[in-house]
Amino acid sequence: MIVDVHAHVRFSFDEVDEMVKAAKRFDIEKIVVSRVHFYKEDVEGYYRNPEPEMFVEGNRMVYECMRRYPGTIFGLAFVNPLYTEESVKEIEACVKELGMVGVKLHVECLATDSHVFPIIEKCIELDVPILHHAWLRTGGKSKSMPNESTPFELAELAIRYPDATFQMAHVGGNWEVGIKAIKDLDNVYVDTCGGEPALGAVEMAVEELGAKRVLFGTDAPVRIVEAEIAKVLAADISSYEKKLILGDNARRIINLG
Amino acid sequence: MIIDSNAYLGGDPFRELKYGNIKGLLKLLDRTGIDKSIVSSMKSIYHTNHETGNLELFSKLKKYPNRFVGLACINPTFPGAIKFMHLCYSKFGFRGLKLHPNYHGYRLTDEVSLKLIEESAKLDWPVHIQMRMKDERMQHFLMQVAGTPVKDVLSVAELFPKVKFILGGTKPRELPETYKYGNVYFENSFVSGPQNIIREMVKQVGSARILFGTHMPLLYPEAALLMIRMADISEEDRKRILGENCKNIYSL
Repeated sequence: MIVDVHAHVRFSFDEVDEMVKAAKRFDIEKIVVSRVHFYKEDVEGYYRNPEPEMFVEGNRMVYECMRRYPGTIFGLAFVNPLYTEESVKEIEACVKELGMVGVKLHVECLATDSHVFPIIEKCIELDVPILHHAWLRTGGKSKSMPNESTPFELAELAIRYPDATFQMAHVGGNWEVGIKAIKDLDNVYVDTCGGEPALGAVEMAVEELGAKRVLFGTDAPVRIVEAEIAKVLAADISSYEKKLILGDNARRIINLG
Repeated sequence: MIIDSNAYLGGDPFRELKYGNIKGLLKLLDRTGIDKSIVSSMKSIYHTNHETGNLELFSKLKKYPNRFVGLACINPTFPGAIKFMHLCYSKFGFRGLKLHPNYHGYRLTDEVSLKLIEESAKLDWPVHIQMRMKDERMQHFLMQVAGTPVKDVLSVAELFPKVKFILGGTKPRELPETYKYGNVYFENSFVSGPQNIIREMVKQVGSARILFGTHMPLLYPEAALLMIRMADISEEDRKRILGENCKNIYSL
């Protein structure tokens, strides 16, 4: 069974339908989605500091997708840790009442910021993993996303909370550094999506971390499913390792029913 | 026939490449079922003297005329560039010009560049403009190179309407601006999303202006290939993109 551990819903259900259709062509049976994209009037590009009413509404859209595709789409509760109290409350509601299977943290707040700590503690209490965006950028942090965490910052958070399970998105962007930054932390997994399909990235992740800590993701519909799955299918690794990455690992750490 | 419009021979200064030599490229062709690749020299991008990389490319490719076609990677600011380009045409049998303006430190609209394009047009050569080699977010800190400006591409496309310009390493957001120029073509190695972008590109510009390109050995060639193989387009369009367009453009 193939599981896509990193996908998104954005603004339309049509896009979700297209995503599910594309996934089915590759026998991707389960897709874990979150909503991290928001717009606000007078703000250029995506709005990176969504208020509680925005992320609550976004999570309800995710829930609608779960209902639209039961057994196929699984939701993550996206929150903005800067609104700590509301975030903790929302995670509890999304997991306990809506059946979401984890939490998504994006670029609103650095992984090392103390606002994040109660979020992680709630995830430990509910026994759900955290998909945390991470990207190491050449030349330092982006002006438009100053709170985007690097793999090093995520590693600090993972050291602080050894009982939490983290999924580091995009192998940390600069994957050669990202892999090494979390290598010694058994509670950190990596997902393969995003960036260009750099030949050798999946092989290095498997060699350094072991295939059991590598998860297949697409970042769909932002990115093309074909290019993302090709990274794993084409990698110079064994069929057993591919099977782990494409689904077995996901089923071990995420409650997919 | 499947023809890859964008491959490289040689090493990357900042990362080990398992398939960077000629045997590696052949292995990638064989494992993916790609019949032929249009190849240029990676060495000629990074070395001050662009000639050595092109000489190496010639010496390696000549043993495999059915699998590889060479492009001359020329830095127009290097002394004797035009003369050397003619050598690439007459002696090496290369079939087009490859430009890396951002790595070679000039603008496409600079006089030296325009002169080179003008001369290559006399050879009836297509011009491949590489917009970038790597995602700017992930370059080595010693070599942070911004993408080639799209507006410069538009300027030369307008100045040389009869020259076919192939854009390599184009980000999806850069594409629409160039659509109105019928002499601008695109390869898909950096076309990462959204999901139906190939179908949309075909709708916007037609399949005759889209070329399959892998950017190997830096990227998994299977990524670009699967993207075209599975695209929601007609079989006729797919055939064009996978090989026929490249065959026509480079008169193979």
